[in-house]
Amino acid sequence: MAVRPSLFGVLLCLSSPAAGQIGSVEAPEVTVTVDDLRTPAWPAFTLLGVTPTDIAQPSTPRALAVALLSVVQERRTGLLPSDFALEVAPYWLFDHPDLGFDEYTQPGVLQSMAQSMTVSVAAGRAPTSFDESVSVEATDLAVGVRTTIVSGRTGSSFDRVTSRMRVAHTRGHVLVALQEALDPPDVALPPEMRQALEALQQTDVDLSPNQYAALLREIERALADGLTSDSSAVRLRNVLDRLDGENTATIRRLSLEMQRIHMRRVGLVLEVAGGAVVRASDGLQTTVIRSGAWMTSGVSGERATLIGLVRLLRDRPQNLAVDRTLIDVGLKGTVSAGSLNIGTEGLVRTERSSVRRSRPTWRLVATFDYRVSRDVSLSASFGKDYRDAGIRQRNVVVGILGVNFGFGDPAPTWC
Amino acid sequence: MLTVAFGNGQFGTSRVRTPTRSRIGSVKRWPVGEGGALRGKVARIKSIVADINDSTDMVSAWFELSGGVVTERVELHDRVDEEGESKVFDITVRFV
Repeated sequence: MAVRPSLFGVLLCLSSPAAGQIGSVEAPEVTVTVDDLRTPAWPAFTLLGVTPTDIAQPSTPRALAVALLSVVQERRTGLLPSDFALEVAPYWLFDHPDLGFDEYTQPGVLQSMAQSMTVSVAAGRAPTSFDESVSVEATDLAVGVRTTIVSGRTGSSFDRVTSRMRVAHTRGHVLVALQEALDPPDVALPPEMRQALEALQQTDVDLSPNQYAALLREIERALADGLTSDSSAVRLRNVLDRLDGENTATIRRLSLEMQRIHMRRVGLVLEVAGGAVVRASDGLQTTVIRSGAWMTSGVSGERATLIGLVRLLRDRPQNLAVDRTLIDVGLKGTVSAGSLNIGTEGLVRTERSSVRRSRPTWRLVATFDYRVSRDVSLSASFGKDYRDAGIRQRNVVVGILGVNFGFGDPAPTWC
Repeated sequence: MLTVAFGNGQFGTSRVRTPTRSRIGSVKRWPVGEGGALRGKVARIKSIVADINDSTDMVSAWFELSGGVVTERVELHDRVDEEGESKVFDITVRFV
């Protein structure tokens, strides 16, 4: 994938009206799109309105215990820790020797839910300006869960890389077989040298047993090569070693590429997430001040994608009578034809609170994106944006025409 | 029959050598030979497992030999040091 170190665009905005948002979850003056409302990777961070830069991601039960223990030890005041972010995938805390490649890449419903489930936890000090009556020691703790119920299937690009990986593995086995055929006979070394090597094998060293054994084999082989009169065998070994090294690097590149493109799924995908924020203040008093639920479903092909989503957010500041709920329902379709991408998205937003019930507002926008060259693309949006009932706008039109320029060298492509 | 399988969703292949046959690739219920002919012989299995799963660094392989008096199963586990790395498992089977 090409990475652009810098990118800027020229935008001509005909109109860009505001849309009401909820609490601190989103900035109040930003128009949200379907992509903004998709199931978040970390529901807890989204609900808390934070973007932590330091996220603890333990991958073993021991590491999880250490992470939780450190939080408890660092906590000084209040019921809950502050400034803490953690993400854990419970399934991957443990070894799964019976989970094969095929089942992992094309999972059923239960397997998909298990292997994709993540739990995010975040904590931070409650903003004192948000609620004057809250104690300065109040802390917000957010917990979220996310999982993919239906995973679709891997795309054709993944299948191609898998096929190349199979070739690289076969090449690796063939090269090892040929290297073994060139191994010098055991009698090549004098007995005293062999005894010394055997004694060295029993010596305690700081290296791992495998590393040390490989090191001794390498030296032994070099010594045997030095004794042989057949220099062609040495040359052959050098060629095989070089090919083997190149092939090992290829396998590594392919592994990383498979990791990267594994989540590009085609077919039906269904993701869900949910979470809540609890405010703890005055020692033991706790209140759920915010909660949310997301469901995103999509059908993707090689050239077309259809995404539908539902998002529900409930905001209830502690000690305040106002209780707001936002319900968003969205649909987005995109079609690609060569360098041209055409899309349409529609969103309906319903806001309800304990003091007023607003009429649903909606947004319907068509987007066009045309890639002129590798570094230049044209984009345009046109449609109707949210209507703010508070200022009684009627036909709010959104129109954006943009030119994007990319600079910098593309990242190296794999293989 | 010999089966070699890899856990944690990782990608792996094997090279199997018996006195009479050999195979490179996936190994699933692969016939190693007749019991009487194998007595006293050795089979070598070398497996490469690539870390294609970014959710875990654990790699594992299990080797199952069936069709004899008892079914033998051996599991090997390891952990890659870096993303995308490969590990090699080497098994020698002596038929008695």
